[in-house]
Amino acid sequence: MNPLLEQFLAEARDFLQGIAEKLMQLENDPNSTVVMNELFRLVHTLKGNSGLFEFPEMTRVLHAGEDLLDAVRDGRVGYSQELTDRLLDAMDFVNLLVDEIESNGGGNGSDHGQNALRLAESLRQLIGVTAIADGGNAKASVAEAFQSSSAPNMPELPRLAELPEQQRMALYRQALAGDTLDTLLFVEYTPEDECFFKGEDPFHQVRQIPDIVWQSVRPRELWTASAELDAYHCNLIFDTLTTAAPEELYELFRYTPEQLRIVPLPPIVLALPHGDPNGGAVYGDFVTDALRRLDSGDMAGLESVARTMLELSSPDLWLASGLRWLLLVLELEPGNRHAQRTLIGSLASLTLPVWTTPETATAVEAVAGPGSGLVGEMFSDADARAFADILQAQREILGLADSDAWLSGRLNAAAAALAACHRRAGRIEALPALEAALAEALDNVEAAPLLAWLDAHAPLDLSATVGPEAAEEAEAAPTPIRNALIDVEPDNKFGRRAEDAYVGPKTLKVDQDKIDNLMGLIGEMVVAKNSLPYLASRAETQYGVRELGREIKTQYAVINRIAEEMQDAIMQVRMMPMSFVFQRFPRLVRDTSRKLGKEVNLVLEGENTEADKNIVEALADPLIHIVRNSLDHGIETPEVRRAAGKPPAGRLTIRATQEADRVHIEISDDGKGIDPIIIKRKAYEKGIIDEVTMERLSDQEAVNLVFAAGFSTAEVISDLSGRGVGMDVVRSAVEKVNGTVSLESELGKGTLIRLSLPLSMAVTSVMIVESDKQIFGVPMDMVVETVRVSRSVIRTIKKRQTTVLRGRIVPLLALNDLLAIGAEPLSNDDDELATLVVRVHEEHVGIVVDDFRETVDIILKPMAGIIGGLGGYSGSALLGDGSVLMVLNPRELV
Amino acid sequence: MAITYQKKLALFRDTVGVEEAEGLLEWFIKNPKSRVDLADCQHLHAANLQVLMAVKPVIAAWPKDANLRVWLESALN
Repeated sequence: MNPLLEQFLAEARDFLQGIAEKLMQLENDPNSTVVMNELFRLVHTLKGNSGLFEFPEMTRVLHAGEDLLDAVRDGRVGYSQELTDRLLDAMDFVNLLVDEIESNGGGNGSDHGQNALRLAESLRQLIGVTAIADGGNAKASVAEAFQSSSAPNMPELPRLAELPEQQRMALYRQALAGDTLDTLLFVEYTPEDECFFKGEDPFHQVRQIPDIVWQSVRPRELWTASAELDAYHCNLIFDTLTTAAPEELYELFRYTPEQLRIVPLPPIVLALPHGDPNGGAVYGDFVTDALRRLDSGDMAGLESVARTMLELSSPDLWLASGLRWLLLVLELEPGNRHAQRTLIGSLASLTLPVWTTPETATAVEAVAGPGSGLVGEMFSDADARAFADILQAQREILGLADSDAWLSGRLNAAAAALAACHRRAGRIEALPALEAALAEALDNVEAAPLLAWLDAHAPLDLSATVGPEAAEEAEAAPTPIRNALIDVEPDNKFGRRAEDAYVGPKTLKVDQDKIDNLMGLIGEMVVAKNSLPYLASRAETQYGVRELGREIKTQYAVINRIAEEMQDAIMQVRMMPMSFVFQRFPRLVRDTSRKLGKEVNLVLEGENTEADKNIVEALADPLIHIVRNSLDHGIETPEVRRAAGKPPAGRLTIRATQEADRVHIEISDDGKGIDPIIIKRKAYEKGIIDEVTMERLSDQEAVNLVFAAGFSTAEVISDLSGRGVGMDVVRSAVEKVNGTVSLESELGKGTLIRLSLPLSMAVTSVMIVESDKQIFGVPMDMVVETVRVSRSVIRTIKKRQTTVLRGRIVPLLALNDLLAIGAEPLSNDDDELATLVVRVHEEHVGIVVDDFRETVDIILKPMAGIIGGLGGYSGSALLGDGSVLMVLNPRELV
Repeated sequence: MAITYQKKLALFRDTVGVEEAEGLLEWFIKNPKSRVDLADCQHLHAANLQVLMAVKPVIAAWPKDANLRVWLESALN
């Protein structure tokens, strides 16, 4: 799993948690815009993030959620309990996906396409259905919802007859054999107009559909003349008939499920007679006879006449084909009267039977699951209609006012009618409930219990086809319809409920203060362990117990190891990659260079170099300063560059590397560089240097003058740079975290700025020096060397003591003088002075002390309060023996 | 090139990509009543398919690939 995905998953969990929280808050306070906006922002961000990966299911659901929340935010949709429920469901689904992606290491399960589609649909429906728009609008959407909830729209199947009859019969047989895997699906795939521009190949896509039994391609709109045709405007619709499982199809079309229409077909649609339609009238008698036998339920008779008729007819005739189908239907679907009647009708008219009527669909439902349709297998088309009419009439009767004196008679009559109907339909199981309802109705003298029974056993949607009143009723009660449509089955929940086992996320989010605190404690531990060697030596020297001293030292070794490991571990926790700072540069460089009319290629290297969080954060501002400077002063405009023989686009490189315990960052450009002469003159004009210094300064020293406070070379102050607060701010910011900054520049070739920073600033290594019987610490990273300088080699130049060390002149300063201690430095027996050579601003300075002591790791505590203003000290630390060590800051001191 | 244009015949070979569709359409406009040879074609992008469907050229040879042939026959007949 790549780090990006890891981060996404960790964030996604946070977002989901946040979304759930906000939803709960919203439940208590539905009108809070603040919570609503926050919720929207969370969903929006999560959606955006998910789009970076190939998780179409997740993105789809989140997108729908976002749209819904947007609508709520704008007041187009009112807040409702249901809204929260669905959003929570959707978020549970996303959570499930996240879990799955995490456990699969990147991929998610494939079988979610349909769930995603359904959830997205259910969310979007809330936008439409609960719209607080005008009445007409709402009605329209209800009608729409109603339409899609009623019998599935049967597709046109004009060319199914192209399949050989044998194959169709085999399929029909197969489908009815009850093998659920082999249900016939009609798949209509309508690619988007612009799909070619999205790199899709719909034709390739449909060719991937498995188990195709029939296919066709047709234009969406009639083809225009070749000259006007747009080859890249997709005008195709692909129709296929397949026995593949719907899941496979959803998987295949998981990116574009909305372009797919899948309709399960009743196998009977395959029953299409074909052949020579010769000699229709001759068989007129047969048709009447067959219909009569069908009506009277004489199946055996019907079968025998059909068989006889088939033997008499030539096998190529339309009639023969129709009879073969009729016999097959009689054999396999003896209950499907509607199909048999239609087939016989087709024999009479010699036209293809039309299977695309709602009745066929109803029959499908009846086949699909007993009791799912109102009209049972025993019912013909007309019977079903009559049944619905009777139910509707009873409903109207029951709906009359309850106050009439003859109410009980009316209730009895209605109940009798309903009971008779249902007995005839073979739905005896509903009758006891009807009797109970009748009894209750008679007791309470009201029709409501019977109506309730009617609603429960004969839902409105089928009777709605009967008349306009019914349709109105359906509109008046949109809720059950909607619920039926979007009903999320209980066993289909994605969620884990509160009581489910909770798998904790692998990453923890911890407040930085806590980490800092922990780091402080570990630091104390590191220092505290330093007291053990003291103890050991005291045991030896003071109490004379050598054994004990040795044992303490052994224990010290163990504690030392653990403390160091703890220190390492806490450092790792605080480490952050440089990319945290680097990531903002592409944008910054792009915007700035555009503003300046320059062309710049930014090269970032070593983004993965890690350093302590404080260091990385402290770097952000200085780096931005430097980059801006480079863009503004360094890199020239394309014209100037071309004239100078350089490529028009400048190059800005930011490179981070790690070296031992320091991080180095180099910012280099190939711009015009810094002219030391101009720098010197400017510095002189501003009074930063005097005339003598100006003469003396080397070019390298001159360019480093840009770090001096108040220095600016730009003639014009732009909004980018030139206010004279640039490089000295950079320098002090870097030095604050114990870093150094240096600059090299070659006129006309470019500038290189080097930053060097400690990896971490928690534990500082200091060298302890002694002067006038006091001890002081000096940060190790500033110490160049320790030497003992003989008094004989010390020369006094301009009243300052200097010496020559390794071929360079080093000024010597006594620490006692620097700290205003009235004592002379002590020399050793050979009349040598202990000199600590430190690097201050790239120059070596010797500090004369009395003696050197050991180096220790300390936790440097900055000084607070009144002594905080003392510049000569960078802080204090506690030593192992409990004494306080003052740590000097040579930069300020010298 | 996955399509080779001869005098009055467009030869499709292997997989014909989306970028061919525009050229194919132009060629048909310039050479009406041309024929198409699909024998060695493995697959053609839907954009090419719709050009063929719109122009309805005479098919000189159907693809050897059985699956493609079934599809094309149902689309072009």
